[in-house]
Amino acid sequence: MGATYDPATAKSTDNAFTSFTPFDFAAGFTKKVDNSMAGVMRDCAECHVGGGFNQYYNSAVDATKPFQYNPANRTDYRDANFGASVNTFNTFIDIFGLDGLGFEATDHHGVARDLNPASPTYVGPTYAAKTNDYAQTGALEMDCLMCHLDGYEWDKRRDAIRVGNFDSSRAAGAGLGTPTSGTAVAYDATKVVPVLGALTLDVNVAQKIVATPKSANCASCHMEEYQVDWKKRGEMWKSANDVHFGFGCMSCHERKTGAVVGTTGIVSAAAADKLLGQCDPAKGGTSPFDAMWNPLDKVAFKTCEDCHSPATTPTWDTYGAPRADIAHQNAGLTAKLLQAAGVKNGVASKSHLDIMDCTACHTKNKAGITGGAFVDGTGTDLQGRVALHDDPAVSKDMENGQALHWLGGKLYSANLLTSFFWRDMNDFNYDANQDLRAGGMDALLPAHVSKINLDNGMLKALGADGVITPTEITDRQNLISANIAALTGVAVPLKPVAGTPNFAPRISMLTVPFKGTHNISPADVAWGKNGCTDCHSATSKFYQGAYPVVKDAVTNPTGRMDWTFAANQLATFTKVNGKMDGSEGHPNVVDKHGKRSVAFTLFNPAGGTLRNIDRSEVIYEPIFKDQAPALTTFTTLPIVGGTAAGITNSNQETGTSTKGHILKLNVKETATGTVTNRTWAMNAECTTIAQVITSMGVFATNANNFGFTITDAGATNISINPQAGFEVKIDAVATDFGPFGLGGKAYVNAPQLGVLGGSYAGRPEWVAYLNGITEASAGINVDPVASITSVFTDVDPGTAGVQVNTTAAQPLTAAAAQAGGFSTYAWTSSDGTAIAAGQTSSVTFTTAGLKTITLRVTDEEGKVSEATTSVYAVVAPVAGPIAWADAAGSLGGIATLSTLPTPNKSLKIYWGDGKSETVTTQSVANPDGLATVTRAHTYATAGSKLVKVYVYSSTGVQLALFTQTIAVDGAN
Amino acid sequence: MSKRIQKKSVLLASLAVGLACGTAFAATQHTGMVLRDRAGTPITPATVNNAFSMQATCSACHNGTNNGGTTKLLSSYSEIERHNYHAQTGSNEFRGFNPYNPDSGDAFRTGAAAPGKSWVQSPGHFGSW
Repeated sequence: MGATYDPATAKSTDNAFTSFTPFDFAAGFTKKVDNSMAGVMRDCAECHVGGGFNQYYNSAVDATKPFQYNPANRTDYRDANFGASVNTFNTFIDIFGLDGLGFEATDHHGVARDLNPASPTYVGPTYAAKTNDYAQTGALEMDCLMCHLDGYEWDKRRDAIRVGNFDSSRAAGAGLGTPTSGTAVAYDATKVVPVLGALTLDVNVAQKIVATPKSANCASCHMEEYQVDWKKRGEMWKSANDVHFGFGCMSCHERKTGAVVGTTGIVSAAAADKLLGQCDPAKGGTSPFDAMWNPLDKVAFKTCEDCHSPATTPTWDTYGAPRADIAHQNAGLTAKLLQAAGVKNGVASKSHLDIMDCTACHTKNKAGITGGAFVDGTGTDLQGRVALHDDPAVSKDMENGQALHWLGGKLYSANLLTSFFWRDMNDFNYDANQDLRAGGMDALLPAHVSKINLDNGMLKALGADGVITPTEITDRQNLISANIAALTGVAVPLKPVAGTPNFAPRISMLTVPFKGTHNISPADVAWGKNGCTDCHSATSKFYQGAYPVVKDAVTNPTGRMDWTFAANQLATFTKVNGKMDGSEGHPNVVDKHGKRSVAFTLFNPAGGTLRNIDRSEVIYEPIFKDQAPALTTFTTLPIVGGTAAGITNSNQETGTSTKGHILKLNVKETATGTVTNRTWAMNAECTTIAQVITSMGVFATNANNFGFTITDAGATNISINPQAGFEVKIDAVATDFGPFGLGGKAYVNAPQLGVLGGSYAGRPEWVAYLNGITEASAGINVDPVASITSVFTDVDPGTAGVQVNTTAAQPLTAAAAQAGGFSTYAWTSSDGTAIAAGQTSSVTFTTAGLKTITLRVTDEEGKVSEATTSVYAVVAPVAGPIAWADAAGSLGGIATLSTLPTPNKSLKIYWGDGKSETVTTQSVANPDGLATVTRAHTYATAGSKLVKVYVYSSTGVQLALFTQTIAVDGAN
Repeated sequence: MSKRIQKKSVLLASLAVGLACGTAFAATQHTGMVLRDRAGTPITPATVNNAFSMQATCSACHNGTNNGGTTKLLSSYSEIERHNYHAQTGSNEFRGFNPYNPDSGDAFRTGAAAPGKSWVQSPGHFGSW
């Protein structure tokens, strides 16, 4: 499988399956495998219900189906013939021992077990490869009664499968009898009774078979104390800690009414496949840490909103859920105060409810509720399992144990679970886990670690006693170094100069924020119940404050794990953001905008103890950054990186390899706009850029017309050079910017503007800003007041009211609607004239007449206030064209009014002597009125006269105003 | 198996199916449910490998029909098992060894798990150790 790289196109193609023939490990099984499918059956299947890979293996490909998987092409293990093949389906690592009890001191009857590995009657784990004979064990069919039998005994199933009693495990779990072998059962005569010769279910069992699973059945796998809670998502679902406890699991997880049942078994987004099966409980949303049959996420699922604030009348049972709308509104949670994902300009468009999942505020834990702090993968637990994960030693008191994380631009409640494990920090040429990749982190096989621990005094996980010390770690490092080669079958190479083994066992840690979706707090103790300061305060522990990781006298006195270490014992888990930022966080821990991973570390590798991270470290980067033009914009200019240390630091002495780093370029052909991606994965050990470029071959030379060359820019920098006719940018997702020295080209500092003002460079500044937000500054519960403060220039003070010219822009201003928060200001005019929104604006009327201007302010809570003012819009006077022919010897004359706007209906002439007249211009002969009108007028006195002529349309709208001063002689 | 015993078994099986799937038993629908081996044969006190098969036992009634109108439509074991995320847990999303491909259109192959862990072969629990 895998992918095939084609240098001619610089692309990898997914390889198709040619068959599903199981890979034959032969004698190499224990060198490469620690948890095979047959091993899963004895371990994980204590909860996993059977069916799927627990019953069948995929035995033939189907090219027409997604993943080439067709459920019809499966073979039941009881019908399989694997021959001599040693494969994942028929071979397992013995982690539980002969009687399935691991390292327990006594058996189920309290009898001491022989746990001396040297003894011929030793019954404990051997961590050796063993064959699973399905003819003897049977197979793990889907056990319907795990869910549907009230009183199903999960632990009886566990005990059965750990010794390979697969077929008989069903009777064991159901309490119908006791396995006598994998395929045989001693039935309980009170529960299984013969009727007409056949064994039948007695009524006392039959009546306990229920269509809807009881919560106890769900809880046996999904909710137990310690961290299995977190991984299986039933976290903290307890009567004392979840307001929904009384309703039971299937009240929320029942599907909505009318959901169609799916039966195809195919995973795809096609409608027929995207249906819950008959026995699938409806499940919640997608998480990057829970990616199982994601097309079924949220299908027919009842969300919190579906019961507490349904948009329409529910057709499903809401169990009397109180509506949350009013309470949320009163708390300001519907106010548009927040910026959307991807927005940094300070413009609010989202509410708290838009940005935050219900769980963010409604999950809290009470003192005494335990949860997992760690999965300790440094050794086994008492049961023989290869990690310590559901034991008090790795748990903590969950009070104050909630954090937050972003998913798709929304904040969710999170339980932070940290796994730690052994790895080979040496990247150079030693494949410590035989995964066919010598480089990289090389997590050691837990089975190898367990075997080493077993052979050296039956050691357990380092944290089994709740205390981890530097001395303990050093001792384990020495044991692993001394024994790893015997387990991998490959000698550890020696460093050429130092002559020491090129192998460096270190402990790394990975923190994953599991979504907290249970332990739902009632409204009266939810975050925000006491106002904004519940969260927006420097003393709040909502989005900030120490998240307890280890035992600490001050912040976590009830923690159970005491962690100290020295230099060269712990190594940072990974580098995120293109291998630039060291982090213990999973790469899928991203910021609000979803463009960058949020890196955080739990320790300083120089030594000391672990630190309690601040909650804000999981959701905000120390310095806000954004993608630079080299990632977002095609360019014809060379992209020259900084020091490309990561691809030139090959060093066998330090165990540093340059293999595996990815450079992916997006190339656009300018003429056609066609974009093609070209990818290169480092496959050579290099110490110079010249070697790097040589190793790239045709990827760097443009020999295949990729549209770019890559050259040595000096100072251990590379230069990516677009060729004529092509534009290039760096692929933002796949490229390892750091090793190639392209980090400086990939990201730039990008401050976040606050909706209430200010610019914030990173997490400390942003958190301080958030802490300063109050109800008053956010305007919550403050009614806006609209007030127009515009001062209009009255062009005709002599006339009543305010007169403004139609041709002049009139400034509009509004007083701030409230002291805090922010409002939108919308203006309208009674004549429909469009006016731009804003606290300041302007309007230019196109027609004359009385105009009413309305200001409507809407605040962040949606509250509205209006104010109005009125003006008279008048057409500005235009000089002329009024020609006055003064009559000789009199005070009269003839006025000629020309170039009148048409169509018109009438004129009103003010002669300047207190007299006026109206002239009708429209007639049958002149339906559009007249462009020229002559009128005689006689004055009483001579002198200058100001003549005004108003022109009106047929609808009475003033079209123009002409003015002219004429001279009346009278003596001529 | 002799013909006589075989005949009797079929008779018993038919009777038991009728009882279990029908409405004759008012107490519960599953009282008198016959335990069956993988072949569907009723298990008797004399059966040696007598661990009952959930697949065959349930399938006597849960067979994709409404059993002649005596019950609502009951999906078969196969219909339920193959379309059940609890049972599949990734076995129907199987990519195979070393699925990482930075050029793939499959988000799982380009995602966080595949690059560093060549042994991760599905997004579900099966193949994801």
